Amino acid sequence: MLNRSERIADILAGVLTTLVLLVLYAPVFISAIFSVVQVNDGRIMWETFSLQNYVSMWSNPSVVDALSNTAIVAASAVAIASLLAVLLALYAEWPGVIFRRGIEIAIYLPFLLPPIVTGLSLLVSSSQLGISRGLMTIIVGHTVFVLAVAYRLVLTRLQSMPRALVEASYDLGASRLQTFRFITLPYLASAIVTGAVLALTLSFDETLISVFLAGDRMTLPLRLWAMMRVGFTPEINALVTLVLLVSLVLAALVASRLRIGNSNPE
Amino acid sequence: MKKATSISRRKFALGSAATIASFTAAPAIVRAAAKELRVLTWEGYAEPDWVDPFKAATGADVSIVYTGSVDEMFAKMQGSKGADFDVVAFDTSSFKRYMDSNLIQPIDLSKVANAQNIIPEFKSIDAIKRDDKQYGIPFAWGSLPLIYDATAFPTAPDSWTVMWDPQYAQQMIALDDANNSIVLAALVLGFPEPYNLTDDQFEQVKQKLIEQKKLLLTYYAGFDEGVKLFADNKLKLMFSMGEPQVAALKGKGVNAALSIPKEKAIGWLDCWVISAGAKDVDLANQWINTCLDKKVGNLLSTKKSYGNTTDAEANKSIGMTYGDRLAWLLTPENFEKRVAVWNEVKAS
Amino acid sequence: MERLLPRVLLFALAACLPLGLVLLPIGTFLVLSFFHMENSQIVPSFWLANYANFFRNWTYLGTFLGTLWLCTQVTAICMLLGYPIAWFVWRRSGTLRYFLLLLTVLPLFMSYIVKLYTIRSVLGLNGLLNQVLVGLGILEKPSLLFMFNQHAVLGTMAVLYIPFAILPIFLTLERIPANLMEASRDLGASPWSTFRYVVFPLALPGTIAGALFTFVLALGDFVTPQMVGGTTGFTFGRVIWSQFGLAYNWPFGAAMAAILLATALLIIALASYSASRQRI
Repeated sequence: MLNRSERIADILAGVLTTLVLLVLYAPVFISAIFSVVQVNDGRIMWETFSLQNYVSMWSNPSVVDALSNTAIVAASAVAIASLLAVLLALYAEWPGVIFRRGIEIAIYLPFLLPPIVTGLSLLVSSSQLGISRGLMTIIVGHTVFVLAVAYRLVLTRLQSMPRALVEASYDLGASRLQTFRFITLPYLASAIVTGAVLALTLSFDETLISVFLAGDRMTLPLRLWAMMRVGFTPEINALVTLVLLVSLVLAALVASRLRIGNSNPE
Repeated sequence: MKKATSISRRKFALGSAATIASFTAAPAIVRAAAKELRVLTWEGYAEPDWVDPFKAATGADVSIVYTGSVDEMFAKMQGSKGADFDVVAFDTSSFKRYMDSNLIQPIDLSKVANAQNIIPEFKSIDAIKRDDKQYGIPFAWGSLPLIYDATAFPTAPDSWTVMWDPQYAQQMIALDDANNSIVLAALVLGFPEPYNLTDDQFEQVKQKLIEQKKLLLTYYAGFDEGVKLFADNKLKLMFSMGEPQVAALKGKGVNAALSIPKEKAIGWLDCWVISAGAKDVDLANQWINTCLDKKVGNLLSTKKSYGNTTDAEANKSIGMTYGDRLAWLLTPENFEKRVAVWNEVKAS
Repeated sequence: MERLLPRVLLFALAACLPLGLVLLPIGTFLVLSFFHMENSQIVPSFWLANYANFFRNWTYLGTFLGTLWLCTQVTAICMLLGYPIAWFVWRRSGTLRYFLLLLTVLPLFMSYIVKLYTIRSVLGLNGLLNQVLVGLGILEKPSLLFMFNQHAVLGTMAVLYIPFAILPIFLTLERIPANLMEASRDLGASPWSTFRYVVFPLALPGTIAGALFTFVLALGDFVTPQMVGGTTGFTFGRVIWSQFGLAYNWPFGAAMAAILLATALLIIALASYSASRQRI
């Protein structure tokens, strides 16, 4: 089926993909290795192999606490942001929209500005409103930060939606709500899920905005940030590896959903 | 700017064993108790060894937030006008800024019985007083020494000028910290008042630092970052963030040692301070009192390798006897100017 | 839909969150950029000196331009590498396609700080790369070539941000209807012409979005250059940061942040303009 030039392009791109993936995964593997063996003077001491770090990690209350805070923040922020993204994208594409550019700028700004600015601006305004900093403020900060990504993906998808689909639905007598539920939403599903996954990764790792909004609560990246000065323990490598494994499973679930959602023949 | 310095305070990293122990011990943040003390501090200043007895004695909960830098700490305090925290620990050079912004309140020494334990050299520090009122209680101190590879230098370098020697190009690192870098260059240039420089002196400092920049492998900003860079790249010299880096380097198999050169080294002194927004001032006083217990001073030195302010013997036992050879941090004439000069050095 | 009241109400509803949570705080910031400092207190005023300082001082302006150039390079690298990867992944079918996509996205789940640390220890003088190269006899002795220079900054940022480039490109490629490809082939177009006249234009909005993401992430990242760039790793974000820290000149920092904001706005405007022109 494929002709020769196409096959060559495929092979080249495949080699490139493999190489880049290897490079992308090198830090991951190295962390994973450091979590189970000791490394001295650049040499790996295989005889020190132990899973001890994966156990001792859980008796470290500050790490466990930070991890659970991070999970709460990420889940809430992503849920809120995904919902907002769909609503705002629908609104933006609605014929009666007013001042769409303005709203979009507001959505994109937190993502475009250096995080210090977003963090400080939220800190300054929340302190003026007398809101005390804690998980709530971090959630707000993360929501506005990840909203841009979720919105962008949903909107791109929505814009590519054939008008005819919606029109056909109306012609067949479907209500606006039915059209949304059975036509628009399924069409958007893959973008929403992709957006949520992307948002989750951003939120999980977001440090610089959180620094200013955290008050006396610690998220995982903040803990890592504070530890960076002091030195990472092998426990941290264990933790990071574990987080990666969990996300792997999560992402695999998402991907299998994606595939079903997109099972239109190609 | 003591960002660096600040970082140094995390000097608590005495090798990973200690690190793990302290993290494990760091109390989980428990909320919603009747009495709560909110502490904003450096790693190593609120250890279970004294936090637990304090909790038992007062029945209060303690929530501890660790900070990564002086700047971050100030931003947090400034952002909430102090309302987010009850007690804070920072060094002498920051006091002016906090006092000017009304972020901290004077301490009533009669409520802190253990203040009598403070050893004489830390009893009267001008930087922490204003209008006869004392705003801080000295708690921990240390220096920013020259760290060298003792294999390459059989005798300790006795002058900072070694860090301008092209022979060691790309084998040295220095702190990325505006104030500390400028103070150090001023000391090397022999200026009598490193915290109060004239424009002409600033120009000389700038040239001196640009001259050094070409010889440095990189600047570093974190305690462990410095240790890691030094060990990973087999470096010879480093403008250090603090004494515990020596121990950390030895833990990595580097034959490291420190020197307080003849031009002096920068010294920092961290003090406990009560925030202007403290909810329960008595509880804050009690906390400071606990920290001034001689036993705490002893632990601070023996376990964390910080200099302490209450147990002179413990200081001696870890070799911290050079308090008189340090140029103690003061509030400089103009932080902004220093940052601008440092930015020019880095952008050059 | 034509009546004004519901439109305004809906607008208020849709706009209140973005406006209240984003524009209001940023507005506070812009106002701050016209204030000035007196005795470490922020004094309200209308002070253009902050902006004048920026343009008068080559330290700030030069660093700013240097940062833009750096981000452009990072974006170029990410696009050059990311596009073929997205294309390759898109051309797989079934499970393999989503498995590969997953592989490209997963590294994002790993902590950014930890990644930086690992990269640095791999590329350092004593690091894995040097040990391998010396071990293979390619290098005579460990080299500092891989770390603490601009190449290290570019490489590290590319590693960090390439997934953000691949994903949007893939998403638009995926939207291309299969029958369009078939039609092109049936009409006798070569694979290259199909790519040139069908695939590439249709995927352009995603390509632009990918470039935008990378550029903007690189623009906001002042930690990476500092960590791996050695003494050359000084970027504009760092300059802004320094004003909020030690220098404690928030108004000046806010003014520089405002300049960064204006730049970012300009870029997004250009990006969305060119993307909208490409829509079919």
